[in-house]
Amino acid sequence: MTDRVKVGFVGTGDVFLKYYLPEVMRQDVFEITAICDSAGNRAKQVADFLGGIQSYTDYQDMLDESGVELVVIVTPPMSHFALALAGLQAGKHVYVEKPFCRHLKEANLLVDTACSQGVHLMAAPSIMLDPSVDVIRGLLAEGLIGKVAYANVSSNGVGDAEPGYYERFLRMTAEAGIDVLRRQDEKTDPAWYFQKGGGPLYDVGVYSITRITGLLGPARRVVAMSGVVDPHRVVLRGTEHVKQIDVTEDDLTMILLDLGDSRFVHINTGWIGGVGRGGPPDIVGMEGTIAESANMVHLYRNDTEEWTDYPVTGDPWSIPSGLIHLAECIVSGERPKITIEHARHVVEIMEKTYIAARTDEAQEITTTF
Amino acid sequence: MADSVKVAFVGTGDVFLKYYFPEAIEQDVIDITAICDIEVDRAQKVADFVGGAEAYGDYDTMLKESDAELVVIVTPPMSHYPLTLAGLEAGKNVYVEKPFCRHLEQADRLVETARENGLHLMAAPTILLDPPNKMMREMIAEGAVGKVAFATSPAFQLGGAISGYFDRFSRQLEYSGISVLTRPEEKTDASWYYQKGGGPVYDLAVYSITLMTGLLGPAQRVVALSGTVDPTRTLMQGTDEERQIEVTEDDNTSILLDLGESRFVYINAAWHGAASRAQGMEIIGSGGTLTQSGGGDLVTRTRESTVHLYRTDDKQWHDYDVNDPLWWIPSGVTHLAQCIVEGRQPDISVEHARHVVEVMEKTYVAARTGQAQELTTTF
Repeated sequence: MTDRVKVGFVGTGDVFLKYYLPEVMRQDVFEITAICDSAGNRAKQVADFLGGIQSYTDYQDMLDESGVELVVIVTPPMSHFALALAGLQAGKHVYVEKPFCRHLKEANLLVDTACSQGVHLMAAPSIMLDPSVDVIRGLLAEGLIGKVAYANVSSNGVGDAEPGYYERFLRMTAEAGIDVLRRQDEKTDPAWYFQKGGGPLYDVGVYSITRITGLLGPARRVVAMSGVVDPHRVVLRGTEHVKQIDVTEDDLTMILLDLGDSRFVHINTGWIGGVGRGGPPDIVGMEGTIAESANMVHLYRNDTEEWTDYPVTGDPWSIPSGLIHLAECIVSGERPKITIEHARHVVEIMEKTYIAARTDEAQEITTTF
Repeated sequence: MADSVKVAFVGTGDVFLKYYFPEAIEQDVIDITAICDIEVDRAQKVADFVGGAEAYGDYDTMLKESDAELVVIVTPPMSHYPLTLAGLEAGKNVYVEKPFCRHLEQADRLVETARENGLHLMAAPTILLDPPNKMMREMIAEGAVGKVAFATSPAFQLGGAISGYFDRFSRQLEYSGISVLTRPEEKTDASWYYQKGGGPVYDLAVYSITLMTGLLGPAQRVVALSGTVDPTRTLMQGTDEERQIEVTEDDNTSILLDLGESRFVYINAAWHGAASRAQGMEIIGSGGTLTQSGGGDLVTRTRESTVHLYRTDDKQWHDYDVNDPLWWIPSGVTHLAQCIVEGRQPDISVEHARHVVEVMEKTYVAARTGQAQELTTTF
């Protein structure tokens, strides 16, 4: 049994450079074997930087020639399904950045393909690996807040148009010792955040939906409202490529999930900024409330009328945590702690959220995990 | 022109004793002329305490015999509509506690009857007249948060039978110097909170819906989820009448309102949730976030409120302290009495209260059918 996994990366954009590359370089479990990017010589620049690694501009060539065991897909959302499917069909384990894919039909095909090929398939976000999850699950399992009534969570960002984004990117990559690629490259154009197939629901709402269903269980039904607040956005601020684009995907979506037994969750996701005064929102049950703050879970009990703090220990989750966990599972032969069926359930919720919003009708959720 | 208004109160339960009665005693513009309660002994005790007020056990008799110009209805929710209608038909101005009524059809009829008879009709809650809310409304109108995108406004508490309720009630009466009636008495039974016609939407979320639509404008559409988390409740906890009842009205309702132009509001109405670390009400727009903290103390009737504005341009929170006196639950009656004396229109409209009734009624329709409901009224 080998103790390292031969890994090939597809996509060398911001997320790869800021999050995956620095972490993967630090972890012994990875043997970076191939880098693929369809844009010019980006993959070659990364490969040269790392030394002794093959670079590809054609994904199929990488699958056919490189000998990688695990393909990591870190490309823009619209390409995830096709790349994940091809990877699985080539017999590779696949880890795919969020969103897993766009449609339940696609998720079903990917899950079935992984199953028939006998390979691992994991989708980001892997936030259920955060140690706070274990603390909250423990409190819920002990029945300390009784039957859950409602929860209110939100995932708001400003998309890519946030002032200072580019400067922060340069700082992060410089700090990680990775100054191999600069950002002005056309292929890292963030317009997709605001255009059909992008949007906050699939890009950041996916975190809230994954986490709250992971904690409280699968949803049965969804109703939603969705629309465009700001029809024009400026992207690539602070660069010479600054431009205004039309927003063609909803930039604000409000969701109510029915978890059954009169348990409801509200999720709000938008490119609105959304600076709030409160901490992360609460889970409210018949007998108490669970809240969170940095490295701490707070429990309020109705009977004692007091808050109790539970420190969260252990390594906090970060974006590449799931990939490291998957590689470790491939080496050890253990099953990953997070399932692809959960990711599929989240895809169905996201797809049906838009249907519910457009048709004005509650949509049943058919999958579970 | 008289400088006070002859006022009759209907209902002498907790809300009357804790809020309306002390306010009415203090305000010169209110001349308490009649007290009505189907338990006439209660009405008599209150009338004796006031001195010079008539007590009635029958509402129709009071309407016929009393010279009250304004009837204030502070009875359990299910009675609001018939009492209000009878008051208007008897030619009285009417102030009615929340909820205004249950159905849009009823609200239409009440609004129409008041108009035909040339009478004032006002429904609680009157929180839009609360100074921090007035300040927020002005700031929003001036564009302080840019284009509004979404707002959240929680409406939750453990329910109407929570532990410590009776102690707090006694403390409030003591503070106000009102010792005339004490609880528990059968008529102040809190079971209606949990039974058909009660529930947190009409009793509690009515505040959030009134405030949000008052600040941001009328809603055009509603979707909702609703159900019962806890099917039984213990009432009169801490008294010798403690007992269990079945919950027959949803105790957990989550609501999304569409205000048009992709502006959405989330309101959760629940008889669950004793504590939260999240910010309460928040309004978030393209240019910033608006919220408030602090509030009034209903026992001492003092307040400390601050309105907070986050501006995306300077990335700073700006605090605005509100020093005006507390606008509390019965202040609307005082405002209405002043308007009657001065011959002017009140600063809030019953058309707004009607819109809120439609939102609440269609919330339940939306939840039961799974279909978004269009809202037809405006204000």
